[in-house]
Parts: sequence; C-alpha cells; structure tokens
Amino acid sequence: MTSDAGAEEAQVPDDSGPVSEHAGTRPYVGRIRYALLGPPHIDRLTVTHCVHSAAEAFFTVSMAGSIFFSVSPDAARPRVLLFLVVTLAPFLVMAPLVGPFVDRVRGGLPGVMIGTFLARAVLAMLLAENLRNLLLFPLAFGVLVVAKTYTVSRNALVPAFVEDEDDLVPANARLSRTATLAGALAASGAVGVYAAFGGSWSLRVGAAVYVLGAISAWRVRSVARRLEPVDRDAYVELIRPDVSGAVWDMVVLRAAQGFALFQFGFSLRAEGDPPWVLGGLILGNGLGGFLGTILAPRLRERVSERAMFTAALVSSASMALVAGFALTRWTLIAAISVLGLSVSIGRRALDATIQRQAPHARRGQVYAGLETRLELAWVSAACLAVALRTATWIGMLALAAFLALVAIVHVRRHAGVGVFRPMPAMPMAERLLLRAETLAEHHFYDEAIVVALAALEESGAGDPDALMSRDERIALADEASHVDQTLASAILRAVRSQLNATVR
Amino acid sequence: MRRSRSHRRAALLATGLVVIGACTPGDDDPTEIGVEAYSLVIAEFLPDGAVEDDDEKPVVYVARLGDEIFELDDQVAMIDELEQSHDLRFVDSVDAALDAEDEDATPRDDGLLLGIGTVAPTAPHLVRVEVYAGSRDANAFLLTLEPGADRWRIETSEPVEPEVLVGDE
Repeated sequence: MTSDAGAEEAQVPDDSGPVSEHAGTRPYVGRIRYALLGPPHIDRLTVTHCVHSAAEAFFTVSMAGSIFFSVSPDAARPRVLLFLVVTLAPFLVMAPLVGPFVDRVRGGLPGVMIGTFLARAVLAMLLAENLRNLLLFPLAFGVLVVAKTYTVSRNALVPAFVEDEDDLVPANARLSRTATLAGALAASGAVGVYAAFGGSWSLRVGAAVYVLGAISAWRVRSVARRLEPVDRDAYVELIRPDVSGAVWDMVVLRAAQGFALFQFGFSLRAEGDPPWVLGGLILGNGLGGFLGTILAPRLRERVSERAMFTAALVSSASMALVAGFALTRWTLIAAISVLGLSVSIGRRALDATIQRQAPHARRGQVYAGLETRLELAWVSAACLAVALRTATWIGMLALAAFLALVAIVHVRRHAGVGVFRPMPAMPMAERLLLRAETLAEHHFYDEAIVVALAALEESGAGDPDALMSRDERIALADEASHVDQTLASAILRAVRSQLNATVR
Repeated sequence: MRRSRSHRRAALLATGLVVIGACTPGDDDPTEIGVEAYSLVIAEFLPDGAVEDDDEKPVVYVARLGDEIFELDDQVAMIDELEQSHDLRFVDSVDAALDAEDEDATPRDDGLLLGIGTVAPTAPHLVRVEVYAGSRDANAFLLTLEPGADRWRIETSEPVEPEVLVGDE
C-alpha cells in the first residue's frame, strides 16, 4: 500500500454490512456511493469491474448481428467445438504459471487485468470488421478466453483489498451486485446503438469501453498491496474436507452453467425457437446471479456454508427436473434463472468457506489456481454440450440428472454416508499421507517427509526408522537439514505402498 | 512384310484412339459441384431484394433436402454474396424456419423457405427445389444445370409436384 493509502486506510470504516455506522454520517450521495462501490481502494476495483460488465454487455449485444445466427447450428458446431477446445489450452497452461507470475511481479494481478482490457479492445475492433465472416469464430473466442483470464485475476485480487476475514463475502457480493447493475444499464445502451447503427458500431463502442477499463485497472494497480507469499499452510488448508468439498460443489455448479449456455444456445436455434427465448435465458441467468448477491449474505447469517451449498444444489436440481419433465419456454427460463441464483449463492459460500477454514489460501497464487479450475470446468462442460448435439428436452433432462446426482452425493456425504453404502471416515494415517503428498506437490519436501513418516507410524504398517532415522527426522522438522525431491518421492512412495498393503 | 507393317500401324492407331478416348471426359464422369452452382439455384428463387441501405432485407431460409448439409464455409460464402439485398439464413431442418404459432405454418419473419436438393454430379445436373411460403403456397421445381466455361447456368426449370415439407399429407 502506498503511504497516502495507509492514511486513508486508517479512516476506512467497517465493511461488515452494506452500510456501516460510519457511513451513516455521510451525505446521502456518499452513502449510496459507499453501498455501491464500497470503501476506498476497493471502490476502484468495483468501478473497474463495472466497466468490464458494461463492455461485455456491448460485446454480447453485438453478437446478435454476427453471422453465427445466419448459419445453421450443425454447420457451426464443429467450428465452435474446435475453438472451445482451443480455449481450454490457455487455462491448462495458465494454471501452473499464473500463480508464480502473480507472486513475483509487483502489481501482477492488476497488470493482468490491464492486459485483458487492452487485448479485448483490439479484438473488438477486429471483430467489428469481421462480424459477418469466418474470422468471427477465432476473434469471438479470443474475447472469451481473455474475459475468463480477467475473471480469474479479478477474483484473485479481491483478498488483497480486505483486511478482515469477514469482509471477503460482502466485498465479493457487492462487486457482483454493482457490476450486474452496471451491465444491465450498459446493455440497454448497447441495444440502442445496435438498433441504430448495427453490430459493428456497438463493438466499436465496446472497444472504447474496454480502453476505459484499462485506465480504471491502472488506478487499481496503484493501490493494490503486494500479495503475501504462499506458504505450505495454504495448500494444506485446501485439502481439508470442508474446503475441498466446497471447491468440488462450486466446480459442479460452474460446469452446469457452461453446459446449459451452450446446450440451449444451439438446441433452441436448431428447433426454431424465436431469439427472445435465448435472450430470456441470458437475462434470467443474470437476474438469478444478481438475486444471489443479495440473498447470500443474509443466508450466511442464518445457516452454514455447507447448508448454502445444499440449498443451491437441491434447488437447481429440483427446478431442472421440473423443466425436464414439463418443458416449456418459461420453465426453461425459470430453470436457468435458478441455476444462476445457485451459482451466485455457491460462489458466496465458497468465499465464506475459504475465509473461515483456509485463510492462508486467500493468497493470489492459490486463489488464481482455484479460479482457473472453475473456468476449466465451465469450458469443459461447454465442449461436452456442443459435441453432444441433443434436443432441448434431452439436454434439460441430462442437466437435471447431473445436478440431482451431485445433490444426492453432497447431502449423503455430509450426512456421513456414501451414495451406495455407508462411508467410513478417512483413517488418520491416510489423511496424514494425503497431506504429505500435497506438501510434496508444492515442493515442501522436508515437511512432506515428516508428515508421511508420521502417517506410517500412526498406521502401524511399518517402521519409520527403516526409512529415516529419528534424528534425521527431528533435524528436518527443525529445519536443520533439507532433502531433495528424489528422496522425498522415494519415501512417499514407500509409505504409500506400505499403507496400501495394510488396506489390502 | 508390308502386310505386317500395316497391321502394326492399325494396331497403334487403334491403341491411340482408345487412349485419347479414355482421357477425354465423358458424360458419365462426375463433375465437382461447388458453391457457385447452389448460389445460382438459390438466386433463381429469391424474392425482390432490398435496393437502398435503409430498406428492410427480405428473409430467406435455406434448408437442404435429404441428409446432407452445406458446409460452414459455403454457407458463409453464399450469405456474403447476397448480403446487400437479402437476409439469408441457413437452417438444419424445415421446422427451424417456421413460425410454430402460426396455423398456416408460414416461415418466420415473413420470410421464404427454400428446400434445396443435391445437384447431380453427372449430366444431366438435375436439382430439386421446394419453394415454401405457407401451407397453401408451396411449389417445386426441377432444374437442369449446365457447367459453362467459367460459370454454371440454368438450362431448364420445370415445375413439378411439391413434396410435403411441412406437416402430414
């Protein structure tokens, strides 16, 4: 933080509610500003996210004039699938790289955000000239990839703006809520530009908005504090059952969302439904997400994060089942709206779980890795939807079956039983070894060996002294000596082998 | 000796004629049917197009008769060719072009639906076209195309009994 930021920070009011006591003494306009944008410094991030939403609205509206809606869905499907698969590649590459970049480069995340805005501005200008030819596909998917990169960096940056662990959920909720409002306002303007001047001009306006976003992100860069280096605790915390379970539930919800968007985007066109139905799905998803940002903080005051996920999964599965068996345009829109609401609630629940049970994982590198997994799930499910080529009602039933199965597993997991048989708690030795393997994956070899040998001792499956003497283990625990990857891998393999032999 | 030379010449000549005949394209050799042929067929049945930039372009839906589809590149090429005057939209099935809430099952957006068959690869290059504007306004034609030196042309256009594109007979 800069020195003047430090002075401002001393005056930052409590961010635990939409409007704090301190904000109550402000003028009316100031109170609204605070409610929409939040306290100083994070308000810059909020503004930047609003500009992003506005620009994306112009991009989305412009696509209505693209050649995609003039060609037949079956002819477009292979090209869309190809570019979706190509879209996967950056995320697979990005996942292991973005973390170190974020941690080593000062202003790494804001820098990534600036880059994504500038890249999208260029792509939007190119798209404006190629809206009605085959270059539409690589350019539009280029915007998609870059937009998801922005999402990863923006979500990973939020923890850098909150001091208190209780602030993460309301901060994220406010960001999403205000940005949704901004996007809705911008969309009405985008429709006007499109109707008057066509898709190319709305893209050019969108490009200008992207440039504004880059300027706004530059202002974020000046106030974002350097993210703390990640230590082993962050990775260990991520494998805690509640945390890993929450991440899995969120992955499922994001996958369902990606599947639904592409499944119904194609099937509605193929079946001749009027364009307003697809527009209704997009609007419903957005409204559901907006509602979630309002409901989620209130839900969290009353129920646990696990219960929030249960509500999200059960409600989305239930509505999808209703739509699957009684499919009309309105039940379809309702199902997608509830899915949008569930994803939003799930997002808040994940944030709450991490801030409470994995506070060290609120670091840029780890958070970026989490976000990348969520985006991968979205894209992978979208690929599946495009590849399958099914009718709307089959797609809805498949979505309902998937969500219902996950909801059942979620409920039974937290009730202590498996899906088909009672599921015993994981033995301590196995849990210790799992932790050791996670530590080794992230290059904490000394700690990995100490924990792995503790697992072996706990299980009684072998003698730890046979693998490493007690004195050597003590030296490792005291950080008086160190081991390399080769030795660590060999010891972990040996412990795993002995534990597995005990189980058999 | 003289008789054997003449026999050899006759044999060589006959062989040469056979070779030349084999190299010359015959009526049974398949011709590559490109997007230009289908563009010509579609253009034959287009309604009057937009003249000024502000005019609303008539909507024309194009579906393939049978199981084949137009490749994406070909669709884009045909759309581009008619972009100035017509709003060409390709559909995978006839139903996708129709207004489901209209009793007369007319094409959406007051458009016209063209069902295009496959141009025969060998002469005569026949192709069937269904022209559909509603359940009471359906026609069909059998066109004969002829490849020219640099472009295709329509030799004949014969009205035929329309197939039932929409609904049951």
